[in-house]
Amino acid sequence: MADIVTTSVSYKECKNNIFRGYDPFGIYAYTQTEERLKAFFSNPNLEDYDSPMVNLSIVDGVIAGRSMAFSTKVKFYDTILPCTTGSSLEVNNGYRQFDIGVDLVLKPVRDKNNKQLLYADFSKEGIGMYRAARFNVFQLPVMMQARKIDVLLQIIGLNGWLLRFLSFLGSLILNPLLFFIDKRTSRKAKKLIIEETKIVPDWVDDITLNDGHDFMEVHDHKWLQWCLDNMFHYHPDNKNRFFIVKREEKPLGFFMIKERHTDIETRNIKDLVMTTVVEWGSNDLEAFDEVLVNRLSSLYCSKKTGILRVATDDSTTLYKCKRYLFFRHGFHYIVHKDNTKQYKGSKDQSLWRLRFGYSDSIFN
Amino acid sequence: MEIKQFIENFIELFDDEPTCEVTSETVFRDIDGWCSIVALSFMSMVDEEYDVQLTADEMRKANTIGDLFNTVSSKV
Repeated sequence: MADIVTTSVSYKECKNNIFRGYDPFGIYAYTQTEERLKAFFSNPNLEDYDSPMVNLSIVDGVIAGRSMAFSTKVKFYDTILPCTTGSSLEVNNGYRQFDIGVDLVLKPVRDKNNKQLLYADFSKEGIGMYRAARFNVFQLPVMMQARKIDVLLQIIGLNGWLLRFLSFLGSLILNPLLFFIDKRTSRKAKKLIIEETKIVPDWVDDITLNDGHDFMEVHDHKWLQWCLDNMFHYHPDNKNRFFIVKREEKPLGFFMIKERHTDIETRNIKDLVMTTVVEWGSNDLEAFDEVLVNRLSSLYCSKKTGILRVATDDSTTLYKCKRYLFFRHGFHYIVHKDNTKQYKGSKDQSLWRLRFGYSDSIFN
Repeated sequence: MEIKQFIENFIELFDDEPTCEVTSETVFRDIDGWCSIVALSFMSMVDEEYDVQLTADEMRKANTIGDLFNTVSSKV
């Protein structure tokens, strides 16, 4: 029978580079990139350096699986509580028969220090594991807007000269439509001042922490700044961008997008820049609502963006965004577990302030 | 804690009801649909229904549903 050990490497041990293990598949090495270490160690919620940073499953001496853990905060009613979240659950294909994914999911669940747990941004397989572990599962319908026609054509398998030819023809239709849509957005936003900034102002706290929802992950200005300043994968096209929105020089709201270069091999897509609206807030929904956020993201995303992606469970936004060429495509999942069992209402998605940018979603 | 109820709770974890007869002698890994997600569901069920935390190692050492029942009973 295989010898299976589940262990943790703490923040302190990572920082001092103490851990040694046989890592032929790069399972542990994945967690030790410069970008990841910078992100994890600059977490404004990191207080306990003895807490686990990397959970490892070691089978017959071989590191075969991992997950990462970091601290965040949640606000339940008027109380701010510590919460554990995480990243990068993975099991090497050759070791899946040992069910070590079970160990890695359950380890933080059974840690008595973890009263609240929150995770986001899953594969379909991953979400099954968290459902099985009796997490509350929240799903945000995802909408996408194609900004470049060649992305859609690559999905249906076109390449080479046919792709280039049909892209040219398709762009004759799509580009004017997008131009018209963006022009209308510019007119709508004429009375607003929109500024991109590298510094998240502290007035956003009042918006994000007091929007009327009973449950939320705490996205105050310190957390947002941390997310703005970090990402897990470097590429020249990868950017996190924060925009403040003012009316007559007074803050009205904000929105944040991430732009990521990606190849989607299963869909035959190469060199795609996907832009995602990860956070937004408004102190006047009549003047600046989620539909306008999505329209402004369309206007302000980089010219290289092939797909603009948004996620929301607001039915009005889902309906109205179709006018601006957004189409439905899948879900973004967020899961939560209340180990104290004190917060029965936390099962109700409608009581949560949910955004795409939960847990590590902005860094990915 | 009764074996009959335990087996009923076990069967409910599967998306499709097992076609074979499930008894205490059944090797649970041979049941159609058994996978790590069902294993995790089982461990979560045992945690909530019986207030027992099974380790993944105890799961791996068990072969039959009877083995699982005995392990859980010993910890109740």
